[in-house]
Amino acid sequence: MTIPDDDWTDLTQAWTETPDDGPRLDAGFIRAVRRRDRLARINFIAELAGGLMVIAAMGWGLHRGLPLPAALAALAFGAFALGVTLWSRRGDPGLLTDTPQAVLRSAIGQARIGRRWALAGVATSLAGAVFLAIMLTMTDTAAPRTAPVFAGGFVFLWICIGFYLRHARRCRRRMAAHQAALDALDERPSDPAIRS
Amino acid sequence: MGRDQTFEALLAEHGGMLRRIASAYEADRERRRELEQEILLAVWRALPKHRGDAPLRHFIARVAHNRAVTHVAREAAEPRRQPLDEAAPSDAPTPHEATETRDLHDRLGQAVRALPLSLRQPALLTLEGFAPAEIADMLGLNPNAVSIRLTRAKAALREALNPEVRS
Repeated sequence: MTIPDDDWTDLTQAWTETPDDGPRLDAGFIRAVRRRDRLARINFIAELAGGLMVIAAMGWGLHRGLPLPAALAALAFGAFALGVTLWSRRGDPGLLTDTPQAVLRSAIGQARIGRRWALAGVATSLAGAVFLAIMLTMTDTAAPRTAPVFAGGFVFLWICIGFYLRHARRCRRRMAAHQAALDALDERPSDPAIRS
Repeated sequence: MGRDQTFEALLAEHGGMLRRIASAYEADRERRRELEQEILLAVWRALPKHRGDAPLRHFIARVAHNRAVTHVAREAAEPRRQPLDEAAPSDAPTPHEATETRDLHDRLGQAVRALPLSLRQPALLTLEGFAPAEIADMLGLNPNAVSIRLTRAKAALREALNPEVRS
Protein backbone atom coordinates (compact mmCIF):
# COMPACT_ATOMS: atom_id res chain seq x y z
CA MET A 1 0.00 0.00 0.00
CA THR A 2 1.35 3.43 -0.87
CA ILE A 3 0.74 6.55 1.14
CA PRO A 4 -0.71 9.45 -0.90
CA ASP A 5 1.60 12.44 -1.36
CA ASP A 6 -0.70 14.75 0.58
CA ASP A 7 -0.99 12.43 3.59
CA TRP A 8 1.22 13.70 6.38
CA THR A 9 -0.46 11.76 9.19
CA ASP A 10 2.47 9.54 10.16
CA LEU A 11 4.99 12.38 10.02
CA THR A 12 2.67 14.68 11.97
CA GLN A 13 2.31 12.03 14.65
CA ALA A 14 6.05 11.52 14.89
CA TRP A 15 6.54 15.28 15.07
CA THR A 16 3.94 16.15 17.70
CA GLU A 17 3.55 13.07 19.87
CA THR A 18 7.10 12.68 21.12
CA PRO A 19 7.39 13.53 24.82
CA ASP A 20 9.30 16.75 25.34
CA ASP A 21 12.19 16.16 27.77
CA GLY A 22 13.49 19.72 27.71
CA PRO A 23 12.96 22.24 30.49
CA ARG A 24 9.35 23.37 30.84
CA LEU A 25 8.02 26.76 29.83
CA ASP A 26 7.20 27.36 33.46
CA ALA A 27 6.32 30.38 35.60
CA GLY A 28 10.01 31.33 35.89
CA PHE A 29 10.31 31.37 32.13
CA ILE A 30 7.22 33.57 31.85
CA ARG A 31 8.64 35.92 34.49
CA ALA A 32 11.90 36.15 32.50
CA VAL A 33 9.94 37.09 29.37
CA ARG A 34 8.03 39.78 31.25
CA ARG A 35 11.25 41.10 32.80
CA ARG A 36 12.90 41.40 29.38
CA ASP A 37 9.85 43.19 28.04
CA ARG A 38 9.83 45.58 31.01
CA LEU A 39 13.57 46.32 30.69
CA ALA A 40 13.19 46.99 26.97
CA ARG A 41 10.38 49.43 27.70
CA ILE A 42 12.36 51.18 30.45
CA ASN A 43 15.34 51.45 28.11
CA PHE A 44 13.13 52.93 25.38
CA ILE A 45 11.56 55.45 27.78
CA ALA A 46 15.00 56.42 29.13
CA GLU A 47 16.32 57.02 25.61
CA LEU A 48 13.28 59.13 24.74
CA ALA A 49 13.54 61.08 27.98
CA GLY A 50 17.28 61.66 27.43
CA GLY A 51 16.72 63.06 23.94
CA LEU A 52 13.88 65.29 25.12
CA MET A 53 15.96 66.54 28.05
CA VAL A 54 18.82 67.53 25.72
CA ILE A 55 16.37 69.43 23.50
CA ALA A 56 14.74 71.12 26.50
CA ALA A 57 18.10 72.02 28.03
CA MET A 58 19.31 73.55 24.79
CA GLY A 59 16.07 75.51 24.44
CA TRP A 60 16.61 76.82 27.93
CA GLY A 61 20.29 77.51 27.19
CA LEU A 62 19.36 79.47 24.09
CA HIS A 63 16.99 81.53 26.17
CA ARG A 64 19.82 82.15 28.66
CA GLY A 65 22.24 83.38 26.01
CA LEU A 66 24.02 80.19 24.84
CA PRO A 67 25.72 80.81 21.45
CA LEU A 68 23.34 79.90 18.63
CA PRO A 69 25.70 77.47 16.75
CA ALA A 70 26.33 75.42 19.91
CA ALA A 71 22.62 75.28 20.76
CA LEU A 72 21.66 74.33 17.21
CA ALA A 73 24.32 71.59 17.10
CA ALA A 74 23.04 70.15 20.38
CA LEU A 75 19.42 70.40 19.20
CA ALA A 76 20.31 68.62 15.97
CA PHE A 77 22.08 65.89 17.94
CA GLY A 78 19.11 65.49 20.30
CA ALA A 79 16.66 65.29 17.41
CA PHE A 80 18.90 62.78 15.63
CA ALA A 81 19.15 60.58 18.74
CA LEU A 82 15.36 60.69 19.17
CA GLY A 83 14.85 59.81 15.52
CA VAL A 84 17.26 56.87 15.73
CA THR A 85 15.57 55.64 18.90
CA LEU A 86 12.13 55.72 17.31
CA TRP A 87 13.40 54.22 14.06
CA SER A 88 15.10 51.30 15.79
CA ARG A 89 11.74 50.21 17.27
CA ARG A 90 9.97 50.53 13.93
CA GLY A 91 8.04 47.48 12.85
CA ASP A 92 8.29 45.56 16.10
CA PRO A 93 6.04 43.84 16.95
CA GLY A 94 3.49 44.90 14.32
CA LEU A 95 5.42 43.53 11.37
CA LEU A 96 5.81 40.13 13.00
CA THR A 97 2.18 39.53 12.22
CA ASP A 98 2.86 40.05 8.50
CA THR A 99 4.39 37.54 6.06
CA PRO A 100 7.99 36.29 6.52
CA GLN A 101 8.98 38.14 3.37
CA ALA A 102 7.72 41.45 4.77
CA VAL A 103 9.59 40.82 8.03
CA LEU A 104 12.81 40.12 6.15
CA ARG A 105 12.39 43.17 3.90
CA SER A 106 11.93 45.30 7.00
CA ALA A 107 15.05 43.76 8.56
CA ILE A 108 17.03 44.50 5.38
CA GLY A 109 15.76 48.10 5.46
CA GLN A 110 16.79 48.48 9.10
CA ALA A 111 20.25 47.04 8.42
CA ARG A 112 20.65 49.36 5.42
CA ILE A 113 19.77 52.43 7.50
CA GLY A 114 22.08 51.14 10.25
CA ARG A 115 24.91 50.95 7.73
CA ARG A 116 24.18 54.47 6.49
CA TRP A 117 24.12 55.68 10.10
CA ALA A 118 27.52 54.06 10.69
CA LEU A 119 29.03 55.53 7.52
CA ALA A 120 27.62 58.94 8.46
CA GLY A 121 29.28 58.46 11.84
CA VAL A 122 32.62 57.76 10.16
CA ALA A 123 32.25 60.91 8.06
CA THR A 124 31.28 62.97 11.10
CA SER A 125 34.22 61.62 13.11
CA LEU A 126 36.63 62.39 10.26
CA ALA A 127 35.18 65.91 10.06
CA GLY A 128 35.69 66.16 13.81
CA ALA A 129 39.32 65.12 13.40
CA VAL A 130 39.83 67.77 10.70
CA PHE A 131 38.21 70.35 12.97
CA LEU A 132 40.50 69.31 15.83
CA ALA A 133 43.53 69.55 13.56
CA ILE A 134 42.54 73.09 12.51
CA MET A 135 41.99 74.03 16.14
CA LEU A 136 45.40 72.61 16.97
CA THR A 137 47.10 74.93 14.46
CA MET A 138 45.32 77.91 16.05
CA THR A 139 46.11 76.98 19.64
CA ASP A 140 49.16 77.71 21.72
CA THR A 141 50.49 74.17 22.10
CA ALA A 142 52.87 75.26 24.83
CA ALA A 143 49.96 75.98 27.15
CA PRO A 144 49.50 73.36 29.89
CA ARG A 145 47.03 70.48 29.23
CA THR A 146 46.61 71.45 25.57
CA ALA A 147 48.42 68.41 24.20
CA PRO A 148 46.58 65.84 26.37
CA VAL A 149 43.20 67.38 25.49
CA PHE A 150 43.88 67.22 21.75
CA ALA A 151 45.46 63.79 21.99
CA GLY A 152 42.41 62.58 23.94
CA GLY A 153 40.13 64.05 21.29
CA PHE A 154 41.96 62.30 18.47
CA VAL A 155 42.00 58.97 20.32
CA PHE A 156 38.29 59.27 21.05
CA LEU A 157 37.50 59.99 17.40
CA TRP A 158 39.73 57.10 16.30
CA ILE A 159 37.83 54.73 18.62
CA CYS A 160 34.52 56.08 17.30
CA ILE A 161 35.61 55.43 13.71
CA GLY A 162 36.56 51.86 14.62
CA PHE A 163 33.18 51.35 16.28
CA TYR A 164 31.28 52.78 13.30
CA LEU A 165 33.24 50.71 10.77
CA ARG A 166 32.60 47.55 12.78
CA HIS A 167 28.90 48.37 12.94
CA ALA A 168 28.81 49.07 9.19
CA ARG A 169 30.43 45.68 8.46
CA ARG A 170 27.95 43.94 10.76
CA CYS A 171 25.01 45.67 9.06
CA ARG A 172 26.39 44.68 5.67
CA ARG A 173 26.58 41.03 6.77
CA ARG A 174 23.03 41.22 8.14
CA MET A 175 21.74 42.69 4.89
CA ALA A 176 23.40 39.88 2.93
CA ALA A 177 22.08 37.18 5.27
CA HIS A 178 18.54 38.57 5.30
CA GLN A 179 18.61 38.91 1.52
CA ALA A 180 19.82 35.30 1.24
CA ALA A 181 16.95 34.18 3.49
CA LEU A 182 14.50 36.21 1.39
CA ASP A 183 15.87 34.65 -1.82
CA ALA A 184 15.62 31.20 -0.24
CA LEU A 185 11.98 31.83 0.68
CA ASP A 186 11.22 32.95 -2.86
CA GLU A 187 13.40 30.14 -4.30
CA ARG A 188 15.59 32.62 -6.15
CA PRO A 189 19.37 32.32 -6.48
CA SER A 190 21.11 34.76 -4.12
CA ASP A 191 22.58 37.92 -5.59
CA PRO A 192 26.36 37.54 -5.13
CA ALA A 193 26.81 41.34 -5.26
CA ILE A 194 25.22 41.80 -1.86
CA ARG A 195 27.10 38.90 -0.27
CA SER A 196 30.57 40.48 -0.47
CA MET B 1 -9.05 37.46 31.19
CA GLY B 2 -5.94 39.67 31.61
CA ARG B 3 -2.88 39.65 29.41
CA ASP B 4 -0.86 37.63 31.93
CA GLN B 5 -3.51 34.97 32.25
CA THR B 6 -3.98 34.86 28.49
CA PHE B 7 -0.25 34.38 28.06
CA GLU B 8 -0.07 31.63 30.65
CA ALA B 9 -3.05 29.82 29.11
CA LEU B 10 -1.48 30.26 25.69
CA LEU B 11 1.78 28.71 26.88
CA ALA B 12 -0.02 25.83 28.51
CA GLU B 13 -1.86 25.11 25.27
CA HIS B 14 0.66 26.05 22.59
CA GLY B 15 4.04 25.93 24.38
CA GLY B 16 4.80 22.61 22.74
CA MET B 17 4.18 23.99 19.26
CA LEU B 18 6.37 27.03 19.94
CA ARG B 19 9.20 24.79 21.16
CA ARG B 20 8.92 22.54 18.14
CA ILE B 21 9.02 25.56 15.83
CA ALA B 22 12.18 26.74 17.60
CA SER B 23 13.70 23.27 17.28
CA ALA B 24 13.06 23.29 13.52
CA TYR B 25 15.21 26.41 13.16
CA GLU B 26 17.94 25.82 15.72
CA ALA B 27 19.69 22.55 16.62
CA ASP B 28 22.01 23.86 19.31
CA ARG B 29 20.35 23.55 22.72
CA GLU B 30 21.52 26.84 24.19
CA ARG B 31 20.72 28.80 21.06
CA ARG B 32 17.37 27.07 20.85
CA ARG B 33 16.61 28.18 24.40
CA GLU B 34 17.46 31.75 23.39
CA LEU B 35 15.28 31.45 20.32
CA GLU B 36 12.39 30.13 22.45
CA GLN B 37 12.73 33.23 24.64
CA GLU B 38 12.88 35.47 21.57
CA ILE B 39 9.74 33.83 20.21
CA LEU B 40 7.90 34.10 23.52
CA LEU B 41 8.88 37.74 23.85
CA ALA B 42 7.65 38.41 20.31
CA VAL B 43 4.37 36.63 21.04
CA TRP B 44 4.00 38.51 24.35
CA ARG B 45 4.46 41.85 22.57
CA ALA B 46 2.29 40.94 19.60
CA LEU B 47 -0.56 39.52 21.67
CA PRO B 48 -2.44 42.85 22.00
CA LYS B 49 -2.52 42.98 18.17
CA HIS B 50 -4.60 39.82 17.99
CA ARG B 51 -8.08 40.96 17.01
CA GLY B 52 -9.68 37.57 16.78
CA ASP B 53 -9.96 37.57 12.98
CA ALA B 54 -7.76 34.44 12.95
CA PRO B 55 -7.52 31.69 15.57
CA LEU B 56 -4.97 32.41 18.30
CA ARG B 57 -2.96 29.31 17.35
CA HIS B 58 -2.71 30.59 13.77
CA PHE B 59 -1.65 34.04 15.03
CA ILE B 60 1.12 32.84 17.35
CA ALA B 61 2.45 30.34 14.80
CA ARG B 62 2.82 33.22 12.33
CA VAL B 63 4.66 35.39 14.87
CA ALA B 64 6.89 32.47 15.88
CA HIS B 65 7.83 31.68 12.28
CA ASN B 66 8.60 35.29 11.51
CA ARG B 67 10.83 35.58 14.56
CA ALA B 68 12.54 32.28 13.73
CA VAL B 69 13.26 33.25 10.12
CA THR B 70 15.07 36.42 11.22
CA HIS B 71 16.97 34.26 13.74
CA VAL B 72 18.19 32.03 10.89
CA ALA B 73 19.39 35.05 8.94
CA ARG B 74 21.06 36.59 11.99
CA GLU B 75 22.86 33.34 12.75
CA ALA B 76 24.06 33.22 9.14
CA ALA B 77 25.36 36.79 9.43
CA GLU B 78 27.15 36.19 12.72
CA PRO B 79 28.00 32.49 12.78
CA ARG B 80 28.93 30.75 16.01
CA ARG B 81 32.45 29.53 16.66
CA GLN B 82 31.39 25.90 16.86
CA PRO B 83 29.27 24.19 14.20
CA LEU B 84 25.68 23.21 14.89
CA ASP B 85 25.42 20.01 16.85
CA GLU B 86 22.97 18.45 14.42
CA ALA B 87 23.54 14.88 15.48
CA ALA B 88 23.76 15.34 19.23
CA PRO B 89 22.51 12.17 20.89
CA SER B 90 20.11 12.36 23.79
CA ASP B 91 22.08 12.17 27.02
CA ALA B 92 19.27 10.72 29.12
CA PRO B 93 18.92 6.94 29.12
CA THR B 94 15.36 5.94 28.24
CA PRO B 95 13.39 2.73 27.73
CA HIS B 96 13.72 1.05 24.35
CA GLU B 97 10.34 2.11 22.98
CA ALA B 98 10.76 5.68 24.05
CA THR B 99 14.23 5.67 22.51
CA GLU B 100 12.81 4.55 19.18
CA THR B 101 10.19 7.29 19.25
CA ARG B 102 12.81 9.80 20.28
CA ASP B 103 15.14 8.61 17.56
CA LEU B 104 12.47 9.02 14.88
CA HIS B 105 11.60 12.46 16.23
CA ASP B 106 15.28 13.48 16.28
CA ARG B 107 15.84 12.24 12.74
CA LEU B 108 12.69 14.02 11.60
CA GLY B 109 13.91 17.20 13.33
CA GLN B 110 17.25 16.96 11.52
CA ALA B 111 15.49 16.32 8.22
CA VAL B 112 13.22 19.35 8.74
CA ARG B 113 16.20 21.56 9.62
CA ALA B 114 17.99 20.35 6.50
CA LEU B 115 15.13 21.48 4.26
CA PRO B 116 15.64 24.75 2.38
CA LEU B 117 13.77 27.63 4.00
CA SER B 118 11.17 27.72 1.22
CA LEU B 119 10.17 24.10 1.95
CA ARG B 120 10.83 24.12 5.69
CA GLN B 121 8.16 26.68 6.52
CA PRO B 122 5.19 24.98 4.79
CA ALA B 123 6.40 21.54 5.93
CA LEU B 124 6.71 22.63 9.54
CA LEU B 125 3.27 24.24 9.53
CA THR B 126 1.80 21.09 8.02
CA LEU B 127 3.49 18.99 10.70
CA GLU B 128 1.83 21.27 13.24
CA GLY B 129 -1.55 20.50 11.69
CA PHE B 130 -2.25 23.65 9.67
CA ALA B 131 -4.23 23.31 6.44
CA PRO B 132 -2.68 24.40 3.11
CA ALA B 133 -5.07 27.39 2.87
CA GLU B 134 -3.97 28.60 6.33
CA ILE B 135 -0.32 28.10 5.40
CA ALA B 136 -0.80 30.05 2.17
CA ASP B 137 -2.26 32.93 4.17
CA MET B 138 0.54 32.88 6.75
CA LEU B 139 3.36 32.73 4.23
CA GLY B 140 1.87 35.08 1.66
CA LEU B 141 1.88 32.37 -1.04
CA ASN B 142 -0.87 31.07 -3.29
CA PRO B 143 -2.33 27.66 -2.37
CA ASN B 144 -0.92 26.02 -5.51
CA ALA B 145 2.61 27.06 -4.60
CA VAL B 146 2.07 25.68 -1.10
CA SER B 147 0.89 22.33 -2.50
CA ILE B 148 3.90 22.08 -4.83
CA ARG B 149 6.31 22.93 -2.03
CA LEU B 150 4.65 20.43 0.29
CA THR B 151 5.02 17.64 -2.26
CA ARG B 152 8.72 18.43 -2.63
CA ALA B 153 9.17 18.76 1.11
CA LYS B 154 7.53 15.43 1.79
CA ALA B 155 9.69 13.69 -0.79
CA ALA B 156 12.79 15.22 0.80
CA LEU B 157 11.69 14.17 4.29
CA ARG B 158 10.90 10.62 3.20
CA GLU B 159 14.25 10.34 1.50
CA ALA B 160 16.04 11.67 4.56
CA LEU B 161 14.20 9.28 6.88
CA ASN B 162 14.45 6.26 4.57
CA PRO B 163 17.51 6.78 2.38
CA GLU B 164 17.08 3.38 0.72
CA VAL B 165 13.56 4.26 -0.48
CA ARG B 166 13.55 6.64 -3.42
CA SER B 167 10.03 7.96 -4.03
